[in-house]
Amino acid sequence: MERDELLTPNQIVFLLIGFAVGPGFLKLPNAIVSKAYQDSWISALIALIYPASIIFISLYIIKRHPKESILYLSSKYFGRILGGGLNFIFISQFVIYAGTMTSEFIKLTRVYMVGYTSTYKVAIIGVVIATIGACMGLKVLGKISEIVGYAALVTVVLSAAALQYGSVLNIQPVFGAGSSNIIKGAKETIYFYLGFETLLLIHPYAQDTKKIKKSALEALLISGVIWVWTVFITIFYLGIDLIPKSFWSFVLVFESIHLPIINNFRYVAMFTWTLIIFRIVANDIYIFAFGLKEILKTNTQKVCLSVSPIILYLSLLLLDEKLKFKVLNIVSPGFMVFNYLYILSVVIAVFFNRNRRVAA
Amino acid sequence: MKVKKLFAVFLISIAIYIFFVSNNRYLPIEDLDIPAGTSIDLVEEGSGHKKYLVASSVYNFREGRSESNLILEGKSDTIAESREIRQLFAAHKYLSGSAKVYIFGEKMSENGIKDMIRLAFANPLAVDITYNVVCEGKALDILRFSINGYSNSSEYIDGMIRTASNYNFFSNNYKLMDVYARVDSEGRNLVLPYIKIENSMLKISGMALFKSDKMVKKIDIKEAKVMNMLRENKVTGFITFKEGSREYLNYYATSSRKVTCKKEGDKYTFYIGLNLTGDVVSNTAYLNLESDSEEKMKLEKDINIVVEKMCNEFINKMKNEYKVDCLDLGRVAAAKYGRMTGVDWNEIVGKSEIKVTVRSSIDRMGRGEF
Repeated sequence: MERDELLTPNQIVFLLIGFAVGPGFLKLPNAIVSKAYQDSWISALIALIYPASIIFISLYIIKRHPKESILYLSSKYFGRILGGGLNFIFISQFVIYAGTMTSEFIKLTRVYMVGYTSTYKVAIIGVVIATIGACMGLKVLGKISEIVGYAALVTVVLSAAALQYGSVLNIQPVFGAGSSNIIKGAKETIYFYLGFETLLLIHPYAQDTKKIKKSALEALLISGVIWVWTVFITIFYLGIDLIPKSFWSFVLVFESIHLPIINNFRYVAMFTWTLIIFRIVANDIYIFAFGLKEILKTNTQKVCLSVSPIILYLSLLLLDEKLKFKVLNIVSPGFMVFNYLYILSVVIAVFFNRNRRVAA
Repeated sequence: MKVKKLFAVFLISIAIYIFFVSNNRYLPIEDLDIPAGTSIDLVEEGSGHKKYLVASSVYNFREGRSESNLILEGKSDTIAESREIRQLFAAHKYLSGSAKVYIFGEKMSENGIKDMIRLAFANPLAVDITYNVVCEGKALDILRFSINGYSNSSEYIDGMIRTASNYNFFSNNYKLMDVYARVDSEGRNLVLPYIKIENSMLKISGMALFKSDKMVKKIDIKEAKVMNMLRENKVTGFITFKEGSREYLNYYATSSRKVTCKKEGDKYTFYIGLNLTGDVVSNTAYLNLESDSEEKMKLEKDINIVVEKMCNEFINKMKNEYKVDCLDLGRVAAAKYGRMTGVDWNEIVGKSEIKVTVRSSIDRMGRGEF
């Protein structure tokens, strides 16, 4: 492959963020506050263990096999049938996430932006845009992720304006919630923190393999800061009694930003957020198609186009909040455990086969 | 490749088409009723049946009639429903949630303002910088009140609340966002400006104290001033004292407040440290204040004593008469000794000791003494 078509280190950083940071974190404070109260930001910090451990395990595999994706390795070590099956389960999670993200997108935009449009229209537009993005291929997605990533960072940084209105009393007493509640809160973050596993799929396309480690850690740092900051500033500004009353509590924080000319910064923020959602859905669709290509040797673009109706259907189905809650309650811890086992078993296989390679 | 591109263009066109050919109607501003202010009253209709009387004074953007104050009223069982009634009188579409002020009638406030807050909180179009005030009697009378040079009273009230923070130690925390954060938050209580018509002028005559969403007490401006000083941070106002008939001093101070809390057994003790820095604006009581540093120190000591006395009087009244923690002290205790313990901070603050220490300093003394 030509060097121009490979990903630069910066694009890898933002691609990974693009897989991990979705629309979910507008309601991340809501999810944790019910369990860990004012210490939710500590929960968010502790829960970073999951993405961090995934990255460190991944880096070991990447070191051994810099030019082979995990899908190839698993079918190589576990055979075509078992490996292929595992691979399929692994990539199918991204279809589910694309569905939940799109349903999140529909709800959010219909409440805050396009209340005059029907659910179906918003859903179709969202999926169409994401599919077009996915069809463009990895390099374009990398570029999109970069641009959207910078825009998102600007909005997140601007939310620091809430610092002058909130009060440190809102986050005190620190550790007052008790360690068991903090751990319970950390469990709530699983769904929001999934996504770094994709590093093992995209790493063969890096321009410089040696810089992957730095890129991955940078991505973890930026996403971690975004997650912890979101929870922290929301509690700091609103207090834990108000957060559960709002469906997307982080949006309320934008009320504190008063910029000249712009009379309500919320609309600017929401605009950025729709871009983030397009990015993550496009990335998820692409990575599924990409995985299927590795397993069944199909055409990526055709898979992207054929999987989009499924995502459309899923997103409309998951608009039912109760069903979505049930599904995510099973799916996200399930996939977390699966991802661990899957990646660890590949690591073990890589570890025991390291000598064979040397001998051969 | 060309076919694919054509297909993509086709898809995008359809997407754009679907997006724009919806039943979305864009209205010119002349065809919208944009509210300037909304008044919410609770009225009793015989046999104890309560109804909401909601009225909005709306802007009239038609040419040549910009001065008129059009008020749409609606009486109904719930607040949102009144929009329906109001539409029966109106010639334009009503744009909810963009009012500059919400004026709560006295009865409404005593009965609880939560219905209105709930409605505003759910409305994604609502601007959360709307000011909230409580008024004497019926809020509709305030809305109807006409002021020379202003098209409606709501705009005037908006200005009143906005600029009140220059004096009397008023803060600016009477916006919807502040109300959301105070009602039902642990250890916090809402206070709102209380306005009335006096000598055919609108006037902020004091503050309304709330417990959760219900008004429990209204206090006059003199007490409100002390409360604001003890409650808010970085607010400004005058401290004046008179000695004899001709000797007086005006001190324009900026306050900063720091509260700490101690718990011994079941007993809480609150320490409010109040720092005042400011200018001497007018002075006949102290001689040679500019050059004599001993005199200056004496003045600072005197200010401390006077302010401390004012504060202690207020705190005694708060504990024994108002029975509501209008200084948000419970919040400090909750932040130190744990939240969600199920205690009623209003009750605890009423029983605990509150100590105020004032430290004032003179910054400037103007350009001369005449």
